[in-house]
Amino acid sequence: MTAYVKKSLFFLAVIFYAHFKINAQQPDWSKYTDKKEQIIAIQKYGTELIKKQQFDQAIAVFKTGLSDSQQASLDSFSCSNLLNLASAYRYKSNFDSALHYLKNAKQTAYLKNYVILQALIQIETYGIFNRLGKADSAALVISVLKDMVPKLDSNGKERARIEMYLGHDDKHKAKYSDALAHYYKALRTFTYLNDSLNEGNIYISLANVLVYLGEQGKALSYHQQAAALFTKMGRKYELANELINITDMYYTSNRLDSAETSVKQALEIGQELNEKVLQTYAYLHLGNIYNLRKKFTEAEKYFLQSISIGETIGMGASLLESYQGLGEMYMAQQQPAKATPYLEKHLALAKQDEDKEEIIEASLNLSQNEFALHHFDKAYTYQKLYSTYKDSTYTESTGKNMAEMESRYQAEKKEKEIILLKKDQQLSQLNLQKQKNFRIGAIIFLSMLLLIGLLAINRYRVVQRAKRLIEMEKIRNNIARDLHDDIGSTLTSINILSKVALQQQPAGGTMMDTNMQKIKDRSATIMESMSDIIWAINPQNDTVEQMIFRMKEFTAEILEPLNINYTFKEEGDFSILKLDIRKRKDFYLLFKEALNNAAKYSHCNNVQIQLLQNQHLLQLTLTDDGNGFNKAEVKKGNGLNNMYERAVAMEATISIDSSPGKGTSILLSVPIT
Amino acid sequence: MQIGVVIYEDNSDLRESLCNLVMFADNLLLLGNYARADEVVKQITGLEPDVILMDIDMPGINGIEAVKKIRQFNQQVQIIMLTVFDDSHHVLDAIYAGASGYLLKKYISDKLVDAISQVLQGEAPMSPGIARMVLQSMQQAIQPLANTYNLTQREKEILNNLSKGNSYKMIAADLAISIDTVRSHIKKIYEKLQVHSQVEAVAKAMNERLV
Repeated sequence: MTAYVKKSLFFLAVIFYAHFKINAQQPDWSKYTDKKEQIIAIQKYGTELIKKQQFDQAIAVFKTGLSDSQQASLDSFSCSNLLNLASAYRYKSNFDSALHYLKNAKQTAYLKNYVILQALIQIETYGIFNRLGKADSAALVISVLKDMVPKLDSNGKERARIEMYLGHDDKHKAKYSDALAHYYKALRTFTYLNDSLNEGNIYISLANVLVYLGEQGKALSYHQQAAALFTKMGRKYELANELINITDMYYTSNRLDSAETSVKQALEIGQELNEKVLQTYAYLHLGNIYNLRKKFTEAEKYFLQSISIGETIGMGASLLESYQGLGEMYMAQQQPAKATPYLEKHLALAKQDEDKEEIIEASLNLSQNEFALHHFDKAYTYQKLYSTYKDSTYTESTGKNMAEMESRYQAEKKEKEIILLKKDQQLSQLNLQKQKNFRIGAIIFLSMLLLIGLLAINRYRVVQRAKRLIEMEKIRNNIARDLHDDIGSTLTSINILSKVALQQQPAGGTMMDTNMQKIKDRSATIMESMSDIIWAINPQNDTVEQMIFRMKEFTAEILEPLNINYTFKEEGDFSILKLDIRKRKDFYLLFKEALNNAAKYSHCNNVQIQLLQNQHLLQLTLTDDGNGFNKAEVKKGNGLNNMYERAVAMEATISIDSSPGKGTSILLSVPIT
Repeated sequence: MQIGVVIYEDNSDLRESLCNLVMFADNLLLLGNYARADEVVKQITGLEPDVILMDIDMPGINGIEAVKKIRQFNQQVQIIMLTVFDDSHHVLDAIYAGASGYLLKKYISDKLVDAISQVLQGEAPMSPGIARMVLQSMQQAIQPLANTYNLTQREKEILNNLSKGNSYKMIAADLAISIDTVRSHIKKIYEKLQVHSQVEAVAKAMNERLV
């Protein structure tokens, strides 16, 4: 009796302790006077615990909330608490309990028509089915959800989650662009609501679809974005999940080292959180990686670990892969006996899940394996199984479609035949026309070719001639310059000698001096003229602009030593003017003559020179403030005559205005064609 | 202290006149006169003149090559190139080679003595024609080494102005600076042209050795 009492007391103590321990961490609920507020507070607290990933405590809290709401007959709160419990069990990967609570919650929600709760329940259910890989059950939920969409707030979280699940559904139906569209809608809402967790989930979903579309790079980047989000939120479980996904991507693109790094990170988290699912997948991927690296002992170790954990938690999806992986590895290693148990387990699980693809693969493997073991009857049985399923995938679901497609195909074929016949007719007509055109075209083409040929030859000849002309001009230019050099040197010497002679005599007005001076001046003049000619011949100086440069130089040379102030203005665009060589010579020499007069005879202090380009007219104005001259008297002067003659030769107009004491002004207008 | 002058001119008439001119000038002392520059190194080393009057176009070693030879062992002597034309690229080449300045033959009688004293004072007159050629060579340069002689913005401006035919006086008025400033800028440009030539010469030498 005492023993029993002791035991029960002990148990009571334990219960009390446990209850107390759990309750000791809970805030004091009694401070809430209103039951509803109390329950709301309880639920909030429970949600916080879930965020902190303290799932067991959360479950206890929600159970409290549930009993409170049931006591107070607050049905909606009971329902939501049931939902919370289901959610908490889902986080713990305890899917059976979760589904159990969801069933209860559904009853209440539909009975009392709590629409939002209904949606949430369905969403939760879908999530679990999705995780468990139960595609068909999940699909059923989807259709329910689709109907619910119009009843929900489009900016709301529920709507966004439904969009996400609709995306999943489309993904399963291989409607990838539709899936992406749903995901993006959901992403927008989640980002707007700052719901980072779901934002991360969307990234994952996007990545999965992109993988199907072959966009490995984009998919990987989305996984990495999701991982970054989860890291920031401190959600280790989700982060580990992403690391597994990233591992998968690296693995598929054969980046085994990166794959190993990320999977080991995931494993670490899985061990830290004691999350069996993560560990299962982590070991599975490690097994695959080392298998690819041909490190079979390590691969075997990892596969076995994955299998043992997977079997413990009943994780079908990972077991399928690990059984198959290990079995196939043994097969490749020529160890069929070792392979058999795992391949058989693979097939069993596939049959249990009614997963046709897996059954096909499993039966094929087993058939080959049994053959290797010389168990030919077994091999044959598996072979039959394989072909049955392989064909069945055609006949069963696609049988109907096949008939439909066949009939449609025939109809299309007939249509196409008719169109083809019509086109044939048109073609033969066109052909005839074409042949005629072709003949004409050929003739035209040949004649054009001939023409081009002739033009090319002509051009070549012209170019050659031009080249020759330029060559000749260069030679002429060089000859002229050489000549000038020779002559110029001698002239210079005359000029120098006369200067020296002048200076050797004492300054005076002797005849010798005057004559010497004349020799000096005239030799200088000849040198200047020669310099001008050589300058003019040089083809580089063909432009009006070059001429203007020389005019300016000359002006400076003449006026500055005499301390005469001057302005030299240019107006207009001279680059468009083309003066032929004779006109240029005349223009330039006329200018020099005029300026010489101003400099040497007018005793002026200021000279204004202006060049103006006005459409097809080149105007020169030269004004000085010197003595001027009497036009009537100086009419026969050589210099003036020269200027008039030059103007006529240029077909230009010139006007010379001067009066004693009032300076001189010369205006020259040359038409340019 | 008289200025020692050596003349290289292949036209005998002109050479004779030049000698007369130099002999007639009080501050100048004629040290030697030659029709060819073949032995220029020996001659200059021996005579040690202050100024050399060098014709550009000579048979045998032409004036520019002679300048290069002289500059290899003597950087101080002033070399004035005598030329008929100032629009010849030879003048620019002579400056690259290290000539201190040039004088158009038609101006010899009037300006020789002044040119000599200018050059001894470090001045280097430049004509619009030369300025144009410098600008042209800058525009045509495509190799990195033959770049724009590292002229400053101001120097380029002056060069441009000069190439348009403007005299120093006009440039000074245009840019609102004194004529002396213009002259010193021109001197700087000269120096840079000569330096440029040194750089090019070195590069050339290196290239040739490498080849």
